Amino acid sequence: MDELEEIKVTFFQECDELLGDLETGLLAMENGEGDSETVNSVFRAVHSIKGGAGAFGLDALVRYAHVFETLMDAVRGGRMAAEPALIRVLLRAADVLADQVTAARKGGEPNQEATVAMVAELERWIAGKGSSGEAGAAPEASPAAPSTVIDEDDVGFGFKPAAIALIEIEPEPAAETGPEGEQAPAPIEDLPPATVWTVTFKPAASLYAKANEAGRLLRELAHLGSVETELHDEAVPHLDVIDPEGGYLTWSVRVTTTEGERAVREVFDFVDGDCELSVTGEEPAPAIAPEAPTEEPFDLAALIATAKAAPSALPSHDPQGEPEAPKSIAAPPAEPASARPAPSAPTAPAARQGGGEPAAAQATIRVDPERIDRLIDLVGELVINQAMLAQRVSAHGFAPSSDVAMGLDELEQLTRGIQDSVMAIRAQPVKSVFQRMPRLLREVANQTRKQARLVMEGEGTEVDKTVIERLAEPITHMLRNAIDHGLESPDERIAAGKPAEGTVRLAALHRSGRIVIEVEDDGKGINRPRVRQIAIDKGLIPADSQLSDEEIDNLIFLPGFSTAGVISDISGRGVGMDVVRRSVQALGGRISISSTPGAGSTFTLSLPLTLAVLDGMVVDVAGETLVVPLTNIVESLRPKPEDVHPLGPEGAVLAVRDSFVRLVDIGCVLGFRKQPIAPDKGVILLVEGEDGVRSALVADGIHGQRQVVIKSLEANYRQVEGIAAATILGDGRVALIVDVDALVTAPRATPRAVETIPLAAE
Amino acid sequence: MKILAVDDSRTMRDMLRMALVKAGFEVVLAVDGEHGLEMLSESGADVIITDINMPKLDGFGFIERVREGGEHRAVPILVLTTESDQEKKDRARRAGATGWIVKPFHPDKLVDAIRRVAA
Repeated sequence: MDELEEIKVTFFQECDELLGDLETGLLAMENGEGDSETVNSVFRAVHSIKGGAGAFGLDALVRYAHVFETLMDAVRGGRMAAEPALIRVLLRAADVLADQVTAARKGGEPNQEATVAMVAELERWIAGKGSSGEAGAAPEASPAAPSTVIDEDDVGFGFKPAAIALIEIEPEPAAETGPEGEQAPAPIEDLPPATVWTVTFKPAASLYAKANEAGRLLRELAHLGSVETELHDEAVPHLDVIDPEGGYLTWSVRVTTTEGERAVREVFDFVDGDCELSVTGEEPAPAIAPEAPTEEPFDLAALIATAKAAPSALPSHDPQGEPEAPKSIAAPPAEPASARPAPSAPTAPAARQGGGEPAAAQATIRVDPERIDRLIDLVGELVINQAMLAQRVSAHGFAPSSDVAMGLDELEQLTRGIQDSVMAIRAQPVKSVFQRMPRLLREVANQTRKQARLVMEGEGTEVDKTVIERLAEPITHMLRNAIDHGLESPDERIAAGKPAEGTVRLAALHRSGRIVIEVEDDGKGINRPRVRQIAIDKGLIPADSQLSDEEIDNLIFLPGFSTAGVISDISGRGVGMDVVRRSVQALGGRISISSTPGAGSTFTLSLPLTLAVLDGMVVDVAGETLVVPLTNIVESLRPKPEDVHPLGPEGAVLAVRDSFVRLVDIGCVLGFRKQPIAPDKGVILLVEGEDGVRSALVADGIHGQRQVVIKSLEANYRQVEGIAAATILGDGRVALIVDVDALVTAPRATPRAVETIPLAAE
Repeated sequence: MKILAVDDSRTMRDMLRMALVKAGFEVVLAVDGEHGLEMLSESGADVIITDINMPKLDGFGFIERVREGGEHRAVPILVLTTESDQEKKDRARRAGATGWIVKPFHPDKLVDAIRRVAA
């Protein structure tokens, strides 16, 4: 069943969203920001997961969600206060729910132990014993220890059958109805003796007001067997006092059926309370086998005839002289005049419904990401193609003011517009990554016996999908690090005069065309003497090296560095900060740390908004064409000779207004030439690195600004230091995109890897 | 026959649409009570199926607003909910619901319930 499978995929997608809402809502409640709508949305999230799970027969998920829902319902109904201890339990319950969903998605079994423990805990709360029994810290400190919770009942799944029995499935399973839908009569041989039921049915006005209709109920009754119907219209008042929507008619129906009283009463299930109803059984009527109901088992025509006969019994007092007037009484009186033809007329429903309106237009559309990726690739090619065309046009000597050149300019603008729009389609808020973090924080905090609170900012910050996918890993690592290494234990914090609960702030923001992620903790900060000593012990730096605070902080990114005395379960998962830094750098990103002893540390991760295109300055260096990302460039200038001041044997600085910046000859750093050119003979690009430090790059000349499509050098060749990626220029040549931060932080005297250069010359 | 199905869950809307389209109904969907009212006045309906727990305007409120007046006040409304308890049913009925369908529904049950209130 393909369609059902598709809906199942939708269900799990929706589950992810709902779990996100659930967590967001619970966190808002935790921060005291939750109003009743927040509580409602939390309830709805659990409720919807349960509903969908029921539709797909995911019983384990339904059972668990049901217990969760019951507790949430109590909170929603105000029967239980949303105290912090309860919200902490609910948050962990949400984590277990997420696990259950994941298990259901994979078709596997969720972690039984965790489920049983959680269910037991939820049920304790439902029973009102949550806060008193396990006051405060206990459930928080040892949530995974099943021994504390299981003893309550050691039955396999941990909760009482009564709770399970609440799952709402109609008394008769749907299968009984059979694929034919109608309750097909049982084979004659098996027929139990038929009973004659006398049903007296007097609809009240409220029955009609709820759009129920006597005719349909009588027809349903006729499905049960054979019927004899009698209409009592004595109560119908005089026309001038009649309430057109009142209920005046009474029917008595003798139903001969093999069905029991329950089946008869079930027909009136929907109208219970809106009618007077009596059902009395008579003697079995063995002689009469019920006539098998066929297509129109109930003689509707006869019924209508009976009904129509009624008005004729009325005094023929017809003030308006409308011949239809009696008819409208015969039809269920609740029918407002304007509504539609009397539905009890058998032909009406089929005849109605001419041109229906099209189905509702959806506000959003879902598109296979591969289609967008292909579109982006194509647009990338279009950009390159447009650039090549422009170059050829100018090579053929068309003046910039010529029609052709101006047409090309417009084409360029359009191309850019298309590119921006396409990129915007693929942009997503970082929320999808951020929403996994509260759970991570809880888990890590639990494992490390620390108390931590996560504050998230800028979840709506949008970034290209290609980048989103790469954000999770470094953020996870930074967050683990912040809790494991940054925050102190509650005792230490209190001793230091801080609240026992540490705060970790996770923020996303746009800064100069990049996305910046900050992970800030209010912990103890980096222990610099210790970090320095470890680096010396491990031979990472010379013992006599003079390092600034910032340089010491950044030592933790060195390969083979780990400060934790004992490698903890959390941060020491074989992935050091050096690996994180390398993977971030491979994306054209940067990671740095700043720290204040005693007050905390901040990790800052910055990545390009997209990994697909880049605005760059095309420059000439020693005969090579290079691209410098525009986001790094502050300004370009031609220096006067007197502004250049030599510094040391090889270096030089440039006076720019009030400050001196280091001069870096791109050609020398990349190994294109041995001797730097005189800065005043070239062009200076004033660039700013991630750390905010400015440098002056020396190039031979500038070709201009261009948007280039990034082609990964790593994927096509290998990683080259100082080079971020490559691109194809308008003339079809490959140009390298320089990694400005690597350039300016490269040790000056070291010759670069020369063997990488021929690529640029190709 | 045109069915307006109101449910905040995309999964449920898809399920309803699938079952109803297969049964030959024309289907109009809405994501909450407010949207349901809009769709009702826009395209009308012969039967309304609605969820109870929804943001903005919940099922009870939606039913009350439909019944309160206007040309669609006599449209049969089936409440679709996992709540089988009597209290929820009663409240839905007080609001003016015609009948209910208990989730998880079997497509045949759904069609059967529609047949009971319309057709």
